[in-house]
Amino acid sequence: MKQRMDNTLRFWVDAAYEHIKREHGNLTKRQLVAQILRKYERRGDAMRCLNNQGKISWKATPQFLAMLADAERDAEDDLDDFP
Amino acid sequence: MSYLEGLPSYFWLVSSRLKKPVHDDVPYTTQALREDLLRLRNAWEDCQASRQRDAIYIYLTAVFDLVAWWTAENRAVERARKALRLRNMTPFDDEEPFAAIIRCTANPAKVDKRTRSKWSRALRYAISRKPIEDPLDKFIKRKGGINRCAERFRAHRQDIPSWLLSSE
Repeated sequence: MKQRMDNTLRFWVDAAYEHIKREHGNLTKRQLVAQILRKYERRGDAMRCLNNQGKISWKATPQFLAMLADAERDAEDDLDDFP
Repeated sequence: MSYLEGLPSYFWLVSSRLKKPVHDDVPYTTQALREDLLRLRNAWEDCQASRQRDAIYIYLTAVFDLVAWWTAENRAVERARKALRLRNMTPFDDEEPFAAIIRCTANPAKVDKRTRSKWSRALRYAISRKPIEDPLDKFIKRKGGINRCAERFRAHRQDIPSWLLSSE
């Protein structure tokens, strides 16, 4: 079954998948995505919820969203400092 | 999302070595449950720190969303009991999941037994009647507020699934 997730989490899960897929050629994408979600959930970056169809789906946690916002602000500040 | 190159590698790396066996599904681990409870305690702190009149819905929505997906997996009672045990709390006889989760995530000095019971009845009314796409706060307000929803739960108890009826 394909994992349902919100766009933010999908972006980062896809990025993580692209990063590690070559090292795990013996595993399917579905298996790798499951491992990524498991790790994201364990460290508090991904959480499950019910979507508007009443199906269990995944989304980025408030903690993860806050961290992304901080990182984006830092990156913008760094760019401003760039001559 | 912009400036992705500026993000630290933390965001990109998951693990270079995966432990076997690898499955298609994602088991709900004890650590994941701990993280969910931590988020609820953070939601509690946020609503206590807020001056907004409706801030309690921040917390109640977080509680509702967690128990709702547990319920969809038919594991709400078992996981609520596990949550209590993780907090070194003893489950009460017939304590239903909303009351249990409120007990282990809200400050007991601010949420007494009566309030917990009222919130839990309102949430049980919502889970049995709320259209899935409706936000919890809008649904409860439309139905007259938390107190009124708690009353409605009692009034409609004959239509409500049995697992929601314990520990009123």
